[in-house]
Amino acid sequence: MQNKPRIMAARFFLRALLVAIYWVAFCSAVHAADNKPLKVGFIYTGSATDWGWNNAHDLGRQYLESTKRGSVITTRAENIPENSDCERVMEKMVAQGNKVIFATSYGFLEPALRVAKRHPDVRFMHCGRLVPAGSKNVGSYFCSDYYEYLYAAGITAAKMTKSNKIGYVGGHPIPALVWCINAFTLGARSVNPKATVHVVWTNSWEDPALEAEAARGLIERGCDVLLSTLNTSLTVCKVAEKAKVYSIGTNFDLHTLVPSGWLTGQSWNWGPLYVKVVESIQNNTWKPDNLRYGLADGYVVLAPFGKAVPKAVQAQALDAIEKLKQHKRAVFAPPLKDRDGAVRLVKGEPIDTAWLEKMNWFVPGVEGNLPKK
Amino acid sequence: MTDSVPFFVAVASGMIRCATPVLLASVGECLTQRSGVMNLGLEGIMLAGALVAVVVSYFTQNVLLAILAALLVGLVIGFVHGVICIRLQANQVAAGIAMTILLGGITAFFGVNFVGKSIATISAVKIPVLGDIPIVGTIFFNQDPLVYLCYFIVPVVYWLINRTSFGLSLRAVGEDPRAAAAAGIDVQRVRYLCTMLGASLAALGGAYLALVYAQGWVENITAGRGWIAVGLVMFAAWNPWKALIGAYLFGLAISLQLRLQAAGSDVSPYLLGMLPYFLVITAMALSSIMARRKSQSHPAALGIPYAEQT
Amino acid sequence: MIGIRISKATIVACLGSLGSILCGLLVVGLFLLLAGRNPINIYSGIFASAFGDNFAISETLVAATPVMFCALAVAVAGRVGLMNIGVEGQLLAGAIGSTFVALAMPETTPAWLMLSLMCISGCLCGALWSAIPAVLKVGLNVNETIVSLLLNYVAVLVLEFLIHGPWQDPTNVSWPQTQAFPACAELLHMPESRLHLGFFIAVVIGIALAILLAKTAIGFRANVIGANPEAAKYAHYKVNRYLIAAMLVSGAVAALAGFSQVSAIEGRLRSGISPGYGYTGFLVCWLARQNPIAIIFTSVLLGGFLSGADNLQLTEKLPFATVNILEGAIFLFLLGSESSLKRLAEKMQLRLPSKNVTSPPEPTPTQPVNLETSEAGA
Repeated sequence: MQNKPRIMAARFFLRALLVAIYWVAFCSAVHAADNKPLKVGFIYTGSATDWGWNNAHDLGRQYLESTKRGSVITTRAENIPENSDCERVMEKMVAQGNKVIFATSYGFLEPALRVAKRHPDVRFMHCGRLVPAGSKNVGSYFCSDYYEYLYAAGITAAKMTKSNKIGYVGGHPIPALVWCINAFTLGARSVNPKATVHVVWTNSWEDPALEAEAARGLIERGCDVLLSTLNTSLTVCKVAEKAKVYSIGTNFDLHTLVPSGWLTGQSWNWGPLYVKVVESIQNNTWKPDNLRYGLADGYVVLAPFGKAVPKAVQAQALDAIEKLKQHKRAVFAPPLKDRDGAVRLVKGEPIDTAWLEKMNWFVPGVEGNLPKK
Repeated sequence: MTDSVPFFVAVASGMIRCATPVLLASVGECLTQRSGVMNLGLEGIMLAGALVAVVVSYFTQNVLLAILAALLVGLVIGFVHGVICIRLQANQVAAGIAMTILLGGITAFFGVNFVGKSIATISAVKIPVLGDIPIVGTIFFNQDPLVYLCYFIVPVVYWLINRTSFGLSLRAVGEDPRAAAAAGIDVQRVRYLCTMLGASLAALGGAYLALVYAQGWVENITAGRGWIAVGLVMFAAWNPWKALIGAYLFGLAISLQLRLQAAGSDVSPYLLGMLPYFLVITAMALSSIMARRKSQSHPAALGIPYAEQT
Repeated sequence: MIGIRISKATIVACLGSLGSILCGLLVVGLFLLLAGRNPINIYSGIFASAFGDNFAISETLVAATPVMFCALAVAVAGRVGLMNIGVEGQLLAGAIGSTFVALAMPETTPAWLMLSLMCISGCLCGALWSAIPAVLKVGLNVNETIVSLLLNYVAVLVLEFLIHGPWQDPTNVSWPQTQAFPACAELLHMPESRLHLGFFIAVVIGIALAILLAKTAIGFRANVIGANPEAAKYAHYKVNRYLIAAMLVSGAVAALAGFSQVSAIEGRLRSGISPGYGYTGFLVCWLARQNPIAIIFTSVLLGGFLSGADNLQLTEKLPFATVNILEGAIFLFLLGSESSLKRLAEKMQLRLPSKNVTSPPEPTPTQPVNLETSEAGA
């Protein structure tokens, strides 16, 4: 009889111990589930080392991985064409456990939408285009205001050109490139009313020989500054360097590769944006929005000035950027007429993504053509 | 700062530059196909030549070595193609396609490390007296040395095929290998030689793209030019001079459309972009249709492996 | 060549092919080892990614479908001795034809009607595309390989013109593609995957072709025309009719690849719907020695390879180009092993099924319909 209380105590103690063990195990399991790394996938249309568009995204990916080491694992697939292949790759990424997929090229949107329908628990972020309303797990991101840096680049180019002719080599004539040209020309003309921009389309995002020939053609016409928006500005800048004309690059900072001719350019800083998006997903605050950012957010940056640019010109360009950031000046100001005289922007009309996406006209000062619709 | 060059001079000058890589590849293929071997791997060989030229130029900063390396690589690849098609008598069309796939993969794999690296490149060199002739001089004699080399290669290859005894053997082997063997010609050796030479010219074309145009390695630097070269060979009816015309037409269309755009012409950029292909293909189709003078204008033994009778 | 019997010859041929594939894998494996990777992991990863689970298998079959159509198309023409390398262009022509119907018909069209019309329209366009080299060959004795190859380029141009111009999506002016097809234009899918009716259509066509060639009079005559045109002429076969008919059918089958791609997979017409399916189909047909049943299996294998190669990038972090290296190396080994296989077969006194997809040379009339001998000169 004397043992009974001891036995009861032992049983109680044992049960308490078991409960404690379960509790600890449960807590750590929950904790581990919370801490299971989030798998994030990236798809590029070109090579991740192209010194251009795709390279910029890959740097962002690397930043994400190093900043969120431990809680995020990234995967990338490069050279994925914008056809049904990319749908398969996205499906494979999903099958691998990726819960977030960044589709970084223009033509990836439709495949992403289709895959998203089949996998409502995976989030897709498309770079560049607007996602149609109603998609529950697809969002988009872009810094459509990046053309404001091109305005500043235009100022720089116009101050440096001696022939008043600036050449432009573009890939496909899409609105995103058209508003670049217009912003650039408006900036150039704001300091040099005689400047003209000559446009050549290669109809390909990457064809080095064609780009080189186009650049040469522009140089022969007398252009002494070359701007290009392609997958990568590498070829055009190199041709410009050899011909001893100035160059402005986009998507990536190439001033180390073209030391004498580099003026300035625009490049991306996707890393912090990726961290922000991923964190919002981890905190369950993510919403399928079309995220659009401006200069102040810092996801697009002005590339460093080349050594050829005198301080006075740099100051002028930076001053313009400041005014743009503070909204004291606007790139597209009403009443805005295109080069045929038609009014494209009236007072009170908002300059939003919808207006930009319909841009298929040029401002005065641009020589070149667009496909007729 | 450069002065504005007269429009058509600029177009013509650009035409020659655009045409040269394609011309080199198709002249080489003319040689190969005249001997009865089909080498459809030109796209891959051009890529290989381009990458090798970039790599050698990067490490040695010497353009001549780069060109020699490209030529050597072309010879080696031509030899491999020869082994597969001549010795092992495989289906030549399939071999060419497989070669293109393999070389495309190898060059992309290794080329990744060389994108953006600075290499020694080739610049235009004006020929002393000829280059001063008002219009013709600017167009033809103000180009880079590889273009000048091309001016020699076309007549040399033509002369080789049509005026030498080697050329006679070559043509015989391409038309009727049995008769050629009976006449004492070493069919295999002739075919090997022509395949290797043809491939090395194609590799040179690829080196041109890298050293003169893009001035570095970019993935898919050829963008389909190898396949254009194959088509041009058919347009040219296996004649190097006609290949020159075809290549220049191709180059003209590209040069013209880009410069028309730069000049602010109002023609649709899309239509202009298609111009190169339309010109060449229409000419090819016409020439194909009009080839009823002879029942078959191509070397009769083209694509058919020859088995030596022991 | 005739029939689906698993003869000793077939076994030798299969083993030979397997041996070459292994050689190719070994060589590339060595190369991967030198690059510091583990080839066993990589190969097993590719296999898992191709056949590892239901989704993987469905993706493999999806990738195999257009290849199978194209390979069958090449086989149809190859059996009568024509080398149709224009299947790439015929695929695009079929896609264009189907798109025309999908865009022209109202959205309320019942699905069966829409799809049938798209299919017919696509096949007509594909047949039209292959008729050009067919007529030129029969009428002017122009080499059909060359003409059909050139027409591939033209087909790409026509497609680009259409998607940039008259058929450009009016709701999205910036990107060259047509607007999305209505729901009734989508080919039936298996639930939860992208596997669609097209795969089964291709298999049925393959089986039908095998039966046609093996068991019917038409098939017998076609085989004779392909193996020995002179003998066929002596037997008063209407050779020209067979040649044209074969090319037309070839074009129509290739067009089905285009139809199934735009209808089931893409849902619209855009640039780049075919990353070289025609050329891959040509290689597959060659690998399978023009035997339709072998083509079915080989296409699935190749589809598995293409689909499984995604794994290289996603898991192994190898560049995309590694796929092409593997593919090219294996094909080259297969190509190279042909003559050794022939000699071995000779020693074993076997008649290997013909791998020949070229136009045969002028054979001497005294030769019997002996594939091996005609292969020696071909």
